[in-house]
Amino acid sequence: MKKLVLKKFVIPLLVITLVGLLAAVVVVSKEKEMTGNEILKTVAFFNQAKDQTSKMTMILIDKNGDEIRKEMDVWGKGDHMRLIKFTYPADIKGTGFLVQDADLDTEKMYIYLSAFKKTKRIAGSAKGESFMESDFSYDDMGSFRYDEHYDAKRLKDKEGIFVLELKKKEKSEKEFEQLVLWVSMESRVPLRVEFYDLKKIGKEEKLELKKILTTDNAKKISGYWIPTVLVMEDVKKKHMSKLIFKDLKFDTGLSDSIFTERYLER
Amino acid sequence: MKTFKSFLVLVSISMLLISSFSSLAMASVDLSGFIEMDERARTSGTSDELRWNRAIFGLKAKSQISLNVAAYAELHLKSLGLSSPSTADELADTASVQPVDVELREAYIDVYGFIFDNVDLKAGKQRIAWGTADRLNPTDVINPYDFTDILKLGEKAPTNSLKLASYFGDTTLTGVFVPTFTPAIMPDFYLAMYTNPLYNMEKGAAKQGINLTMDVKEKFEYPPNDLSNSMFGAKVERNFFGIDFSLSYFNGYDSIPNMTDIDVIIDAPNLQNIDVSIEALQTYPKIEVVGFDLAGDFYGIGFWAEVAHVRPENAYQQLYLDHIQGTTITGTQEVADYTKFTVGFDYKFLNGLYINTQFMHGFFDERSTDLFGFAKRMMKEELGDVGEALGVMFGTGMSISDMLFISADQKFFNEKFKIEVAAGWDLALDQEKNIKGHILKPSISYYPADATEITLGFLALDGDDWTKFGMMRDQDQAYLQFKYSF
Repeated sequence: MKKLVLKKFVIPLLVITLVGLLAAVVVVSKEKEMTGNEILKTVAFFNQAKDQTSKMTMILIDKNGDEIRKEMDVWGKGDHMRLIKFTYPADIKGTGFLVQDADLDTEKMYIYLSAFKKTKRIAGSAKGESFMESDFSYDDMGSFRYDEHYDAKRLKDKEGIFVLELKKKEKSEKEFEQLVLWVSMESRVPLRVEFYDLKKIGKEEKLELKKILTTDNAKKISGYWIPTVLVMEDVKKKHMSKLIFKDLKFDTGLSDSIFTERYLER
Repeated sequence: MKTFKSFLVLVSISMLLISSFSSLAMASVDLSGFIEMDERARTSGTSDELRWNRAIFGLKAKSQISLNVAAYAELHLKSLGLSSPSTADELADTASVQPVDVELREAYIDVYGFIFDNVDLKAGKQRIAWGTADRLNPTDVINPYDFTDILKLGEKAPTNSLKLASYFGDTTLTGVFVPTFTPAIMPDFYLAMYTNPLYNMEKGAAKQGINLTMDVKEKFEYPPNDLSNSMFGAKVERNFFGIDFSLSYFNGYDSIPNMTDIDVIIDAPNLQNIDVSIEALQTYPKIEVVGFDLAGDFYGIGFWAEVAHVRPENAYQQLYLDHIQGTTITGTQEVADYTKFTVGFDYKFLNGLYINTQFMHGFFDERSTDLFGFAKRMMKEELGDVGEALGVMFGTGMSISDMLFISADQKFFNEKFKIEVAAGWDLALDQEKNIKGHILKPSISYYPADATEITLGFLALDGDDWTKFGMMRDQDQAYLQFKYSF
């Protein structure tokens, strides 16, 4: 009887435990071997899902702590299509914002002014421009595929966190020369991003810290890890912008027809 | 009293309509609106006349009746605030003591996927905005002008119409049907408005040292409300290589009156004292408008261009000048085709400063010919120097103007304040003195809380006599506006 119990349960259990331990060791050692660029490829920042919908609250906070709140419904598909409709405050409610072919040379941006019943084409190429008067740029609101524009060097890990130093690739048109990323090892969500730009001081060029992005309240929704709170701080202006995402849904099969002027004007 | 009763009835019906939105197929109704106060004081010369003293309540109701049917209505209730009772009866009449105005701004139904999935229908009183330029849209001809607010030049009044839009990939086809003609709403200072220079003649003559007295009778003729006088338009839009293009066609009536017939009797014992009797007929010519526009951006700079070619149908101007130094002068000229266009660009700097520039050829009311210019030419031809001297009372004549408009705005202190400056110049590109007139509109806005705005501004117009802005120089004013949106 004892021999039977051993054969049927204990040995298989031991084998499974050993395999699991081995796998964990393999994973840990593989992570230890990963280069900065390899880790950067796994960073998850709204770029995994085919499409997403959410309700977003944007809070602008000045150095005195005064806040301005805007609320909007957001639809996104891939890296190239975004539709935003403001729901609060009342004076901009109904105003819509459409981005087509974002991140491509043929990018088009439109704003729907409900008071005038008119859709206006707006200049979309100035990606460094502030998005809706916030500290996020249009670039920040688009694709977060850092691996396409930066080369990453792995710095010393912190507990459960990868630390990466990103330098802009030669042909990249991104605004910032260098970034420093703190990435959760578990979720691969960036926890903190520091944005540096080159500043000329005399004959020398030095890196100057311009903005800091921090994320919070990461959740796993439909299999994707997503930070639901983003805070962007403009270091020089001492101004912050907070984005809070609610009712996040992914891969619901959004139709391309949503990202059209027809839908923008509804 | 009657007006106030009608007002109450209209409000009651409107509230009933709005409440019935929610009972219609268990639809949800989204109510929003605004409360606004608008104070304006004239600042021309020594006058401090209060021009506006208005409080406005605007109510908007939107209902999603089903997945593909929605309804929208917008009502404005305005307390006009300037009392003018002059009799005991009027003192007992609320409409005289506290005049009000009720405007059903828009009321329409949207059907998405009308018969076919790619077709949308919008039916009712609606604003149909065509053209890519900012406010200065020569191709925006479906709705008539609303000139009641001088601070909102280029404003249009929604009208009853049917709009059908079909979507084929990147291409949109739109068809519009407008059953009846609606004229432009003219401003309360119409008598001094550039579209009716008859009333500027006395001022113009005085400047020339001429003592001119006038007796004017004006008559307006509108296209009858027959189906044969309905208007229609069509538009095709598509994007090519990142630029939006559209081509449009309109067949209807010009919403601004055209002085078609003028019968002038002049009694001039000498060139310093002239008595003029005028009978003028103003009509609304039938027009065809072919429009083209484009919009795009180039390295962060937005650009657009809009052009409209207008073909008046059987439009003419007839002149009958009687007793001019014992002579009768008559003449007829046809209103020829004309073209108007606007080109512009805008840019937003990284610090938030926004600049918008537009060049406009052809102001809202301008056409290829004007009757007064015709009268001057005829008088000079027939009477030589005497005719030329007398013709001064008709002003310099009007032609299609060239204007440049620039505006800039920027927000400060976490969007709590906004400073905006808008300016325009009436140009004479073929003359040594290039600028005939100007308009300047600076303002500062304060946003104390969400959806709340307080604006203090100023409007200044000036220019040579008989020019657009010169004839409106009495309209200089300071304004203070409060607005809360909910």
